[in-house]
Amino acid sequence: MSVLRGVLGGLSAVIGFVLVMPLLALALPFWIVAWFTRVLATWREPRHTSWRELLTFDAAIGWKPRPHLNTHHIVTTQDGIFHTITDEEGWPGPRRLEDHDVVVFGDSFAFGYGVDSHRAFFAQARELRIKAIGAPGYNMTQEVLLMRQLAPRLSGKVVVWFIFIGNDLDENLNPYTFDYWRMPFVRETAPGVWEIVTDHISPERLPYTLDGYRDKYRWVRVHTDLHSDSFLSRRAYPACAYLIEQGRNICAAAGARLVILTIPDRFVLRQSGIEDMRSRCADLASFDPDLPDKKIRAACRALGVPFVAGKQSLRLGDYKELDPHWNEQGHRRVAELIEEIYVDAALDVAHAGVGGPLSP
Amino acid sequence: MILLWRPREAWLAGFGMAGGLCAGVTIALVAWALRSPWLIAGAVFAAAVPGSVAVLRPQALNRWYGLWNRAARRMLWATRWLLMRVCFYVTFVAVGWTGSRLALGRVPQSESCWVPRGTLSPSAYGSPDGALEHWTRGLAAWAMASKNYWALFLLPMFMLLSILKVEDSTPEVPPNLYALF
Repeated sequence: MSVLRGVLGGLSAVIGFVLVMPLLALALPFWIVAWFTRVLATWREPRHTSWRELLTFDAAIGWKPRPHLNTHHIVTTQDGIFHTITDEEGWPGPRRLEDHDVVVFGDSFAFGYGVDSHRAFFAQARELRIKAIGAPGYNMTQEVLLMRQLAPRLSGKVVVWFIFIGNDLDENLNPYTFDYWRMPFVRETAPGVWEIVTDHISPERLPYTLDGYRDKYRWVRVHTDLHSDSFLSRRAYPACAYLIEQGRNICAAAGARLVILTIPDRFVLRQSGIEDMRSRCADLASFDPDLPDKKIRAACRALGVPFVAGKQSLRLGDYKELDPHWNEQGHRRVAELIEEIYVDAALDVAHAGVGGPLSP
Repeated sequence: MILLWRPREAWLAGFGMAGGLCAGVTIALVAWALRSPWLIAGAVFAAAVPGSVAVLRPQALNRWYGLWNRAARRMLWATRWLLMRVCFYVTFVAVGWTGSRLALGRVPQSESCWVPRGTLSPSAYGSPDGALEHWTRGLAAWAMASKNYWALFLLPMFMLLSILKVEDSTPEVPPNLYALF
């Protein structure tokens, strides 16, 4: 019977191919054009790396950008390929930290992810020299550790700290994020007592992606929790305040002036995004589209740290269409904002005599 | 077969050059067959126009790129639809005529359907990290071992189906965006 089945199978396959052949012939031009298009597009574009290849493991903070990068990287498929330069320590831009007036700590927004290095905010300022210290995936805990490392070199500078509402606040509390190495985080050891945890940092990546990051609605769920009274928001804001306090102390001891700048996700700049969060909120009475800025502003006021809400200046048009980072216009706007922050900080120092003199 | 849903500039340029090249070659072949000098001029024109636009103003090809991609998607869908139905309604039905080898019968109450089985060697299981052998070899090995020789004739059809996969075809937000912050 096996042989008979084989013969029938062979005959029917031949008949099947004859039936399909006309359609395959019609599909052939599409396949040829697609193949040539891919070949020619690859030929025209510069060789590029993925975001993973920009980073390397770091035993103190989890990971860092690779030093001496001079390469192209790809963001999402439609956004294009961008040129990245890092200095000898791995931080964006060609020049060393000491040569700058303003130091910006942050995550991928600070890194200038998604635009050419010469078009990022740190290269767009007209009057100022801005140094960015940041890498994709960083949380605020990592940035505090970086401030500690670099404290002796921050003297006389304005330190602008980007807090990305999108994921910094919740990931301050997590030991691992999407597909990176393990990262430093903060935990509450007693009511109101927080500490930074780093002893789990390891060059070994997790062999799987945490389930929470597979949830395509995670982004909006976290946002909703952060914009209302929730278990997450009751932990995330005190943790954030603790980290800001650490940053303030480090900067004050180093003779630098710390300013907090919050970065909204473009999602909350859309009315539809607000409505989406509202529809998912478990406690509607406590929902407030401006809650993150209000909470962080209150923490900054209590700690005496100047605060700027990026939501007041950034517009939807400053962000890319699909990728969540800023476009070139957004980077220009942020450069202008940092120049304003620097002037205000300089005036504060002049009027109140707070801290040491700022670098010229 | 499907191009990037939202093309970068290099892809638009590549599309223009590929389109011009294919159109030019096709018309040139027809011209050669018909020995028509006018058609040869047409081939040069057909190759030069999209090629020039691709080099000078690739963004101008955005609309044509989108139209082509939509047509390719439909063609792909139709081809997959037909292939799968041919597999099922022609091959499976033909093989099915020979009847089933599965012997089903009533078991006397005094007997049991229990069949003792031994364990398998570790190599019989797939690797947990996904490094499995290529599916074509797996299917061929199964067909030979189980004497289902007819299944070997499905291999070309399945390979065609795998070539006609619908990649880069959805206009949704790409996955793994989370990784970028």
